[in-house]
Amino acid sequence: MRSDTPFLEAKLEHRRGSFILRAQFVLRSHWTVLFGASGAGKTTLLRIVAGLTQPATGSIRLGQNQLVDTTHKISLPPGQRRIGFVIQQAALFPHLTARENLGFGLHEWPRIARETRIEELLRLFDIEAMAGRKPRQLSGGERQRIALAQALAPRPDLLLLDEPFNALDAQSRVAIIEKLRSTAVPVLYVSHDIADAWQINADAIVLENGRIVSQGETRAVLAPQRDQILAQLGANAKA
Amino acid sequence: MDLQALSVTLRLAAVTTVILLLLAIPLSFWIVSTRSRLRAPIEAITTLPILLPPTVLGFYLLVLLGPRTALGRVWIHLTGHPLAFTFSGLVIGSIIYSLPFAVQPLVAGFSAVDVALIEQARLLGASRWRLLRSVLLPLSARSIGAAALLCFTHTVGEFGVVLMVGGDIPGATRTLSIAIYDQVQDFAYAAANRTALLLVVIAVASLAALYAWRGAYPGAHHEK
Amino acid sequence: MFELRRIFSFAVLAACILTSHAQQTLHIAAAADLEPVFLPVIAQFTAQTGVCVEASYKSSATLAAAIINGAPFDLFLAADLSFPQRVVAAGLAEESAPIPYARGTLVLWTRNDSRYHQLSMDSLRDPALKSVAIANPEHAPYGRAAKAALEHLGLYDPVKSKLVIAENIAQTAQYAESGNAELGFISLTSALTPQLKSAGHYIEVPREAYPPILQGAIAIKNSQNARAAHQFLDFLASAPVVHQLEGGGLGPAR
Repeated sequence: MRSDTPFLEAKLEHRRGSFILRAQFVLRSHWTVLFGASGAGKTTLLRIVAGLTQPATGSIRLGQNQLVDTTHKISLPPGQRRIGFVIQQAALFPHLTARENLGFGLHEWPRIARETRIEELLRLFDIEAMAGRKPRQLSGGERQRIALAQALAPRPDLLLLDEPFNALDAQSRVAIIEKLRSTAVPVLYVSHDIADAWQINADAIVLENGRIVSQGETRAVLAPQRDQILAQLGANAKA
Repeated sequence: MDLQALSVTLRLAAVTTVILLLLAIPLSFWIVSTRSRLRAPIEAITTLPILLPPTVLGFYLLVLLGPRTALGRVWIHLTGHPLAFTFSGLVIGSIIYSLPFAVQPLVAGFSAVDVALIEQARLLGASRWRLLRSVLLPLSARSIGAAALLCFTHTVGEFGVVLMVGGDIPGATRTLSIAIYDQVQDFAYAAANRTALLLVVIAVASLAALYAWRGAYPGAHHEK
Repeated sequence: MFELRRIFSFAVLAACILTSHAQQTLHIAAAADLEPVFLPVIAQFTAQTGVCVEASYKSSATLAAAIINGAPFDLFLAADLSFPQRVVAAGLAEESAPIPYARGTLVLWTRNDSRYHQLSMDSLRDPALKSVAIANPEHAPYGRAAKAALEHLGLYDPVKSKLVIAENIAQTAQYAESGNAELGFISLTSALTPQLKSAGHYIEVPREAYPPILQGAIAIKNSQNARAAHQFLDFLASAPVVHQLEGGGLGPAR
């Protein structure tokens, strides 16, 4: 689903050693893929949006909130940006149960609202059975589902996913992505896997060496990469 | 059997450990989480007591907390007597003396906590206080145990500072280590040996109990 | 005049330290109360005889224990007779009994800015008195003397709870000088040092109130420098040195 007004507008520049990230982009779709090879700067970009890394210069607006504006020395702390972030190694608190992990971001909520929300997410991600267990007692896939639920619990305005489904098989991955797309939360999803990225009703941003080389509707933007893969597969089939 | 000196020693170690942990936890948290330029000098200062000979430390406390300094005079005004020769004086001396033994394990424990967890906590809206209480402290419980253990046993063995500042007052500042020293000075070697043995037995017993409580090490091999 | 003497002493000491060729060095275990007065005495000895001296100032109890356990001293100058007697009993002394070489004097000292402007033994009766420093009566000669004096004057019980015990006579002076103890029973040798003289005032504790602090010396058996040790003892007994020590608070052994 695409609206004409972007809900996120970002312009940023960041330097680390000899690597320079310079990006200007908007998000309008409910599902945007951030596509690029390793080292292209995808994780850095996500971290800057989330507030875990400070850009050298930049301005980021999410909805009505100005998250970053270096010229006016504005930088909202990560906890106030209303952004969820799930990374590859699910960052679950090992000393808390799945349920407690899920509820971590709901600390300020009134008790009943908090418990209702937790139950809702346990059901949505099919993890009710493991609610009382600790992360070390769960499989990789189960942990990722809890991490997603944890990030979504406080109803963020944007969900950032940094290749969190690498441990899942293709089928589970498809199922989870469907589930995520059915929630109301827009997602910025990092991937270097063309099959993963090839979604309908989605946008894509291609990042190469710290620069955005194309952005727009997925099938248009990623067509060259798709063709490349198909050619490879075809070549292999013939051989 | 100098039970009074034993009581002073154990009380001193216990009180010092509790107060020192209460001070060292926020201090260590600040050290690992700040970007301030003051961090390095302050970390250096907290390590300083390791380098200072205890008698030198005790001497400076004697002078700095005595009636000749403004600080000492304020204390005397508030309490009616100088800090030296009191149990509280020893507690303050012990806190300074054992400070690095609390701060270093805590800093090591806090910084060993996965950064990803800290970042996730921040993203989920945790304040610094909640971060300390709900994430860092539970995940560094072993380091806190280590800090408490080290402070306690370090203070049990304290001698130089107590010698300088204590005044050898039975029931207040005459610790087991001073008692042994006095017995040696008096050439009462049999008594000194008994007191020393008592000290060693207590230290080893409490250390063993605390190590047992901390549980097996993560890589420990299970015989089956 | 005093300044010159100090410069002279330091010069001789420096010469001893800096001399590289193997020279005879006399190692003296010296009681803590000797430290304030001994530097010029040692310097003169070296100037006269060419023998360098290294002195270690500690409590007599500590030194006696060290010597009995083999510490390489040549001469032991204690603050009483009991500690050198222990060394004799251990079979480590040349003499069969300690040789008295000096007599110590006990004083009661207080800072100039304390309450006790008119200091007297009765100051110890003051109910508002908070603390009195003494050296450990169990094993420090001046501490023993102080306790004896207090008992003789019927002051021990009222003052007992206010006693603050130092390891040796030097530390006792430290407690008093820093003001942490309001009064202190220290050695006359400490009281006469420039530092304590300018910081406070004292009275001599009445001699009849305590047994005389007779300070005894022994030469250690089988030392490398036996001759130099005896030379030093003779030097200490010579009239000009006795006179000098007296000026510093250490009386002649009579």
